[in-house]
Amino acid sequence: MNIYVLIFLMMLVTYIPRALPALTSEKMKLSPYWEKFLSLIPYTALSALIFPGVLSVDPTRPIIGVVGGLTAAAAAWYKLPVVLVIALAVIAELLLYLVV
Amino acid sequence: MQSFQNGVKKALPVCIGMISVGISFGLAARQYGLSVMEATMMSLIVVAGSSQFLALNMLQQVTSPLIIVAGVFFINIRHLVMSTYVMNRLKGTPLYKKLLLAYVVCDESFSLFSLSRKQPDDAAYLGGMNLFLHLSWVLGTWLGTMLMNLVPLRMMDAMSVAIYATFISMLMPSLKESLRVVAIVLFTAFVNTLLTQTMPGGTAIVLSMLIGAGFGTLLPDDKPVRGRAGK
Repeated sequence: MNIYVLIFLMMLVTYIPRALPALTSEKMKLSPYWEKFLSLIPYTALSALIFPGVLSVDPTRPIIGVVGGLTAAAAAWYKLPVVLVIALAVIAELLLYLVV
Repeated sequence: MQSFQNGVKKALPVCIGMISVGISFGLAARQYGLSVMEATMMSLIVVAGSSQFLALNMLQQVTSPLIIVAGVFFINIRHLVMSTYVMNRLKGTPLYKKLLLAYVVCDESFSLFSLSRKQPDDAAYLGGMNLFLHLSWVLGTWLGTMLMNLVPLRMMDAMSVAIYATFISMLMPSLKESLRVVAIVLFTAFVNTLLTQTMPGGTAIVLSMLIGAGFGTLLPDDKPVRGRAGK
């Protein structure tokens, strides 16, 4: 099958869910409960995106992801810039690869 | 214009993460037999990292494109929830702008946007973020296709932590500020770990997001904790 047909179909099924709320949001009147519910989505989304996915950074060795994630968490705790948080996590993993 | 610039500024650090993951995708795409053009176009048109990786994997095993497309749909359905949040905040914005902005409602732009304060022009703010995140994703992919065979495998594995490091640094300020958020985040991670065992990752993520938020509405607000810390 032509890869571009696949790309087009992938775009459709990705864009439609992203676009639907744009069409309905003006009519949507959310109760305080659902406002609160929606306001929590950023935290739950990030949480679900991070864990347990971070464990499979190296699918055969979860320890690599654990160390990378903890390093990033420590760096973020001290409010280092995102670029540094990423760099330190990558460096920690590369160092770990020297010993495991 | 100010809001647009603020959005760009806010997105720049995360662009580094996008470029890193883009490089991994570009490399993987070449290894799976896609051309430079095909891989780059996929990033330009689809703009959804995890589902693009999924499609690469499935292209090797599955003969029917419809199965791949169904997989992509399920892994991306979480963006429906994210976009609901975004569009709720963009009420009053002209429809064509919202439809344009919706194109790049990905994990990164959603996280950045939802965790930052309201701007004078939220649509322009998100537009600035989206534009630069999208460009970084495409640029990263293209770089990755060029780097084929130049990057050691371990370097690639190590780099794939970049996106998690980005998400962790986005989440950390809220964790430090609110015990309620800590509880919600731990609960959601736990639920997602359980669900991931029994269903495809994309479905597990969207269910965990919803269950976690439902759990969170049961918890009392914890503004007093912040007050007690004297901040």
